[in-house]
Amino acid sequence: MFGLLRLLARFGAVFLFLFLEGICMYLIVRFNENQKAIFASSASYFSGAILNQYQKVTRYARLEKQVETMQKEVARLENESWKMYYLGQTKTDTAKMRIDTLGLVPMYSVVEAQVINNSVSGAKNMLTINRGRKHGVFPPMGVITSNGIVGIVRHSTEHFSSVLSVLNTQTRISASVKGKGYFGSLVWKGSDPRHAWLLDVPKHNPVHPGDTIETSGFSTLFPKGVLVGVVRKRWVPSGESNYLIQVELSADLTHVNQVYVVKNLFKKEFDQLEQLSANE
Amino acid sequence: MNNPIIRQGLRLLFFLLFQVLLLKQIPLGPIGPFYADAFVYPLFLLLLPQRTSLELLLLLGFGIGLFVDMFYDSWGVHASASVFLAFIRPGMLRRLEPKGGYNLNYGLTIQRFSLTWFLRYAAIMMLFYLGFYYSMQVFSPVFFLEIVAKTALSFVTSLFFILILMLIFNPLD
Repeated sequence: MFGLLRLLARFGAVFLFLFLEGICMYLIVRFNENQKAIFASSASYFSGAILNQYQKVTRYARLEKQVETMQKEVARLENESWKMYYLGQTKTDTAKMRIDTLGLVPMYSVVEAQVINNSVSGAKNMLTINRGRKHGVFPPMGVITSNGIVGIVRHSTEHFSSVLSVLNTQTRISASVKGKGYFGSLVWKGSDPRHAWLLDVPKHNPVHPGDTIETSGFSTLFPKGVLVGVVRKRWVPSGESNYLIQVELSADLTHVNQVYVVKNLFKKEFDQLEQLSANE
Repeated sequence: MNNPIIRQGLRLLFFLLFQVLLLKQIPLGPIGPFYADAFVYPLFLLLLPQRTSLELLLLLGFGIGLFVDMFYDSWGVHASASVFLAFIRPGMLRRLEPKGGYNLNYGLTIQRFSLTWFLRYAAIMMLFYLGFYYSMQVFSPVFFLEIVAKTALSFVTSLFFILILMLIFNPLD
């Protein structure tokens, strides 16, 4: 208490000065239009800057949650995109043929997943993802990213699955040249994680560097039209009738993180069909 | 007239009336894009004897400033400037101390000191006063050049009137 009094006695004039200036400031801002306007805009500028900084910090803290939401959203959109539909053209009238434009039946759905283990350096590369039977992931299902294809599910446990990477010498994926329809098998010959080879395209079909390669949709694993890559080089080895096409993969498998497992909703029917053909 | 409080009171009354009835009415005209003002009422605070306590100076400055604000219709602007002037007075006097030191009872006038000492003292103090006053009037560092220009113009006119008054009346204390 005495300390406080001594402080007041020592610096009383300073306090008085600050007090009086405080009153003056209040009067200035309260009763003078110009100064009031300047004060108001400066104050909002100042508080705006502080709030903006605060928002930046909290936005960063919310980032993980946002990424999660966005992944779900992407999965939903992938489900809705045209690639995922089985075009259900139906005859509804005997008198006239009519295409039911609303007859789109979902053919594929996707499950979002995270890559938790990955290799690209060997000859038989595998990935591990954090989705398994519990989430409806069974072998064989296709795995894609937003950039392109990743691989095929090989084994599933309750919560995890191993994926045969595109960068695996055992993998064969049916692929075609976009807009032209010539198709072949995409294989990988080891060592270079950026490039794969498209085989079995007959040499009488014109293929040029720069052409886009996409999935053909002939297998039940991938929808038609998922990006695979771009033609870099192509030539016909002597004595053969098919092209050898080098494809630069669009999905960088050395950096893959967020992937989507493609479920074919008509798988049972396809299997039945195969069964029927085999029994003949 | 020998009672110093009555004397100072009359002087204050004179300065205030001189300020609000005369100087406020004189149009000093636009010099360039700016209007010059002339302020002499801070002279009252400058002339008070050395022994006047800082608290009293601050309160006087506040009251006088508010009175002038009433006529200039600029609530708080003059008051804040004269409170500021009162606050820096003791420190400034310490810096300007003449060789013989001060006599605490003397007023800070030309007669008690010298014309050059007083001119220096008044010039520095008015510069601070006007700088603070126009900062409060313009109220934004964005218009820094405007503050400087107005301060410079009004500095000349104010000092001119202060000098005239001092030479005419030439008070002892």
